[in-house]
Formats: sequence, structure tokens, C-alpha cells
Amino acid sequence: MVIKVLDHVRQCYTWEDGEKIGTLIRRAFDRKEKIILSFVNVNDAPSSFVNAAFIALLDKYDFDFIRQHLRVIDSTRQINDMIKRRFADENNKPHAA
Amino acid sequence: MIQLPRQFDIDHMGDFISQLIDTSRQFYSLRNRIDFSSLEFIKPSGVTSLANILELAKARNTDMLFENYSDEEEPIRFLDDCGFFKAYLGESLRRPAAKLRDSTFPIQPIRHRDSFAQIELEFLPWLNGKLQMGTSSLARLATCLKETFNNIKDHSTEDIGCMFAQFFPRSRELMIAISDFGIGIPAEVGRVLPKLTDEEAIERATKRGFSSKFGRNRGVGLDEIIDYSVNALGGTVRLFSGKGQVLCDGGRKHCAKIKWLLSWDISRISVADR
Repeated sequence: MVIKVLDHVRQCYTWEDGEKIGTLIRRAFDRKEKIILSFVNVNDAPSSFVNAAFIALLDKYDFDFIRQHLRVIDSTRQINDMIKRRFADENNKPHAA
Repeated sequence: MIQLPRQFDIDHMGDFISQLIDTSRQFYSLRNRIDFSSLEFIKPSGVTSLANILELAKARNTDMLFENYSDEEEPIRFLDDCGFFKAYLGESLRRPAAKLRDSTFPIQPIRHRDSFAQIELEFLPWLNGKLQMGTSSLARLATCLKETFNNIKDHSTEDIGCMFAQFFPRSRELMIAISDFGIGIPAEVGRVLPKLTDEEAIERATKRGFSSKFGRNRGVGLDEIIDYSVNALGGTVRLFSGKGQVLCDGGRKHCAKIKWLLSWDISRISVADR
């Protein structure tokens, strides 16, 4: 299933924009479907958008599940770096015992 | 009547602002006269700070009247050419209308809801015309601006940032100044680390992984701005908030240097000394 983000949000900017995309991803994950997310015509994405679209998925799914069920295409280096960076930061957060 | 300082920049704006507002950002008087006669030089940080206080005055239904602003003086002409008087008096001072300087991106207050369009459709095309770097090369800069405006939305009660930029073609240097009236970095950091000085709080806020937010919406804004501007491009970032300021300066030479001046919560500068 391919989702073009700009079919669902006008811009990849705010937490609210990211939430809309995150909701779509979660619905697919709940059905155990794999998703391909296309960032065609998007040049960049700040952390608020990435947090809502991707990082919030960690509330319900672990990183391995996300990695196996989500692919990002047509993106830029900045978008890829931001996504990787935010996941890395979440991974490095101290966890409660 | 309150005089603008001779040199209006980030180092001299505190005294000026503290004459107008108190610690809770309330104006001492509902009618203030601003005297431009002493002004000899104004930097981008001064332009945005001045615009910021005028926006705050609007929000507080406070009158700000300008006095002694002859367009025969160079700093006044500079302000006019930056769009300042058009923005705050309704028209530029000079006839025919002041021609916006090609090297400056005019001062404008930007609400968050308009910021995406301003960045994508106004600022980046203007900048691309100067740097000739291509939009994909500017993606990271665009992100830095969007991080800043998202932060203003998250942390400021007024939801307006005043932005101004100046490009120096000979040195290929770009100076961007953004001011807002948020609660300030020290206050934000103080929610999680209460015992730091203002300067320590600002430094801490620039560290990767640090956030004053809880939950998943942890920002990377300041760290990203510094990493891009300083580490990637050899520019500088100067953060001014509360009574602290931090300068991040990598010092390397690159084809285009970017200086950021992010003034946060300028309302609290020097007020404690009153």
C-alpha cells in the first residue's frame, strides 16, 4: 500500500500534520499491513512532523515492527536524516528499570 | 519619551525594552513615544527586537508613537528600505516609495499559521536568488526555520516571530534574526532543570537529546540549527534569552556562512536591575 503524504496533508510541517499521517500508518499496522510512504514533492520535514508521524508509533509498536512494515520513498536526505535521528534519539533515551 | 539607543543590536536592546515593559511583559504606559533621534546604527537583531516590541504593543492595545525619524539619517533610511515604516506606519517614508534593498528580506511579523508559506514561497526564493544553491541545498535551512517557528508556537504566548534577514554578497554571509516573546529558554529548561543560570540553561538547550518537553514531541530545533549553521557551514549562532546569551562559533570557512540571532524572551533583559 503506497501513501503519498501530500494526498493527506497540505504540508509536512506541524505535529498536527504528522498526526494525520501517523493515524494512517497505525490503521495499516493494526491490520498487519505493510506501508510505503511517499514524500514526493516534499523537500524537508521538521522534527514535530516526524515525531507525530513516526516516533509516536513507538507507543504501540516496537522499532523492529516499524522497520519491517514501513518504507519511505521519494524522500530527501534531510527527511531521511531527520527520521533516523529521531529514532536514534528515542533509542538512546534512558529507560525506566 | 523613550530613546532608541545609538547602536541598536542584541547587546543594547535590553535597556530600551526594560523602559517599556515589566517582568510580566506588561507595558508601564498605554501610550509610549519612541524617539529615533539618537539612533546611529541598527543591526538585524535590533530590527527584529524593535518589531517584536511593536507587535507586543499591538497585542496589548498599547500605542507606540514614533518621534524624530527623519529620512535624511542613514539608519532611518535603512529601516525604511527594510520595510519597517511601511509595516508599522502603513507607508514608507520616502517618495517615491522606498525601494526594498535587494540584500535584505524585509522585516515582517509572522504568525505560525502563515510561516510555512512565508518560508517556502517568500524567503527561500529570495535566498536562492542570492546564494544560487538550489532548493534541495536549502532544505536543511528551511528545516531550521520551521523548527524555530514550531518552537515559537509551542513555547510563546503570542505566536508571532519577527524575522529579518540580510545578505552580504561580498563575504557571501547571511544574517537571519528571529525574535519572539516566548517564556524564554531559561524558563523552559528550568521546568526540568531548575537550578541552572540563564546561560547554563541556554547551553543545555543546545545539546542534542535535551528537551524540556515530555512525551514523543521532543524537538531537535536548536541542536539542528547549530549543527547546520556552525558545523556544516562554519557560521555562528547567537542565542539571547533571559539574562543569558550563548555564542556558538565553529570558525571554519565555507562558501556561505549563516549567522542566526535568535532572540528569545527579550522582555526579561535587565528588568531585574530596576
